[in-house]
Amino acid sequence: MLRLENLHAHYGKSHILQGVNLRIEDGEAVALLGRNGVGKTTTLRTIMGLTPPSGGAITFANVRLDQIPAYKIAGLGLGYVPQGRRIFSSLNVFDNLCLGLPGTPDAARLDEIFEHFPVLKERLNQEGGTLSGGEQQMLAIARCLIMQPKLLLLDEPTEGIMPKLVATLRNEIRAANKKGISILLVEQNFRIALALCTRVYIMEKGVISYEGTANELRKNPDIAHRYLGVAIS
Amino acid sequence: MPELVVILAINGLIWGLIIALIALGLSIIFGLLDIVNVAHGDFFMVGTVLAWTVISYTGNFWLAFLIVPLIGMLLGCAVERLVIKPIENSPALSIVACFGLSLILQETVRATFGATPKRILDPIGITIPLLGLNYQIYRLFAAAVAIAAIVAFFLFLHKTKFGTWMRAVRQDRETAIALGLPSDRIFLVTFGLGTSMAMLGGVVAAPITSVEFRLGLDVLPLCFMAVIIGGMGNLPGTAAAAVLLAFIEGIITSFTEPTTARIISLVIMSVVLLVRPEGIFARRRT
Ligand SMILES: Nc1ncnc2c1ncn2[C@@H]1O[C@H](COP(=O)(O)OP(=O)(O)OP(=O)(O)O)[C@@H](O)[C@H]1O
Ligand SMILES: [Mg+2]
Repeated sequence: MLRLENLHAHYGKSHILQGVNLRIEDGEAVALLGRNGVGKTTTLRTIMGLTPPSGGAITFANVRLDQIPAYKIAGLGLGYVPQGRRIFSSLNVFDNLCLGLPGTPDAARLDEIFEHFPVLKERLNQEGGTLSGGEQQMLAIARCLIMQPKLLLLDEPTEGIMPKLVATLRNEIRAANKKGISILLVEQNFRIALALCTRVYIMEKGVISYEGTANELRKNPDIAHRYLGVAIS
Repeated sequence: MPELVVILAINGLIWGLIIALIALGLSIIFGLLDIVNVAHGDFFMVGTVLAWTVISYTGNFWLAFLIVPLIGMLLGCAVERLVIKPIENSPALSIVACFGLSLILQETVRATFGATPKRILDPIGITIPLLGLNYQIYRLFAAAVAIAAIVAFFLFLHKTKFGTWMRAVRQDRETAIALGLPSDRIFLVTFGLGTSMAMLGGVVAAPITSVEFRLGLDVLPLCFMAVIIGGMGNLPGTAAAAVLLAFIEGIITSFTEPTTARIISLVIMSVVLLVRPEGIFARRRT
């Protein structure tokens, strides 16, 4: 459903993405891992049109994303949960939640969201900036899910979140995937990435240097050690 | 003498409400499109000229309240598409473009309307006794229109979906775009709305000022000062600062020259920038 082919991106003169190839099939959950600063966020930004690519192609459901205006991308069924959550701090929770919808959502859709994220229901009239980090992360995910995306891009959703809430977030991401939403997950938390995803890409300095299944990585801990410098038990 | 001070203070207050309306237009354009629109004062001036034109062709001043803001919306949208959008990623160019726009507006008015200042007769023509003087009812009406327009603006921003979209784009353009907000249309409407507010301000002010092609040059600095003193991006702060500044200038003008009043405004702004660079009303952003 999503295909990145020989994708390049620059920030000014620095060449950040140097030919990234990656694909996600319908319903798949895929992890994109890598050390700090290798270009994971840039990859997601390029998909969403926020950093226009300087070469290569991005295709989603037969549409070339790199050839349409950025604001039209979400409407094709892509949800983006940015690194650092980026909740609109001066908008209340309800407005944050429904921002991407053309009008107000029907009750059934709202109820479904509240079933998964009950804290949001209690805080509807509160300003987004007053939520805790974990609540903001739930809101960032919920405001995408309410738009019923086909593919969800998540950039380090558990970064800086209380351990207690990490499990909740993991369960909700898994629930979304079970419903048929494909996932592209960027994570530093290797364990969560393996728990949620069936396939893994590892990025190094702007290129994909390893591609394999989660099972392979579990069986060969040295791979993770070599590429990511992490030990898994 | 004390009566005169009170009257000039009231005049200042009313003028401040009109400036607030214009400055809010300047502030949303700056906040959403990242454009320092130095032509904003000239749109105000065009509003006064169009008000004069509406009276001279129809004999009815009140029609201007309907027609001119509409023209402002259309003119603003046209300018956004033809001038602003083509250079959207170059802030430096946009200042040059707005400056060019400012010259074009002024010179077009000079060429068509003429360089001599003109006056519009008091459209209500009734006065009330105030502190021994005859005070124009129109001035109170002008204040009421300005307040109504400002309230309508905030209601639009806070109670409609489009207004919510505008606030979101203002706070975080990228995330708003990633959520699919129609940024193209939002920028277009914002520029149109801001221009329309300046031109409505022009209509409101036309009968209480002289109508001429240089009028914008006087208003623009006051708007910028209001935006800065109120705290960049703080809309209620901007409105409050506009009223406060014009009020203070009004009082000072009763003792000395208008130029001295403007100097004092600039001093106030400098002090605010030194002491509270985030603006005197900073605390809560909207
Ligand atoms: N706006 C920018 N301008 C210039 N360089 C940037 C910009 N954003 C990121 N970079 C650089 O691009 C490189 C890739 O950044 P990116 O954010 O994509 O990395 P990342 O893999 O997401 O890292 P992290 O794990 O820390 O989030 C980094 O070296 C970073 O310093
Ligand atoms: Mg990152």
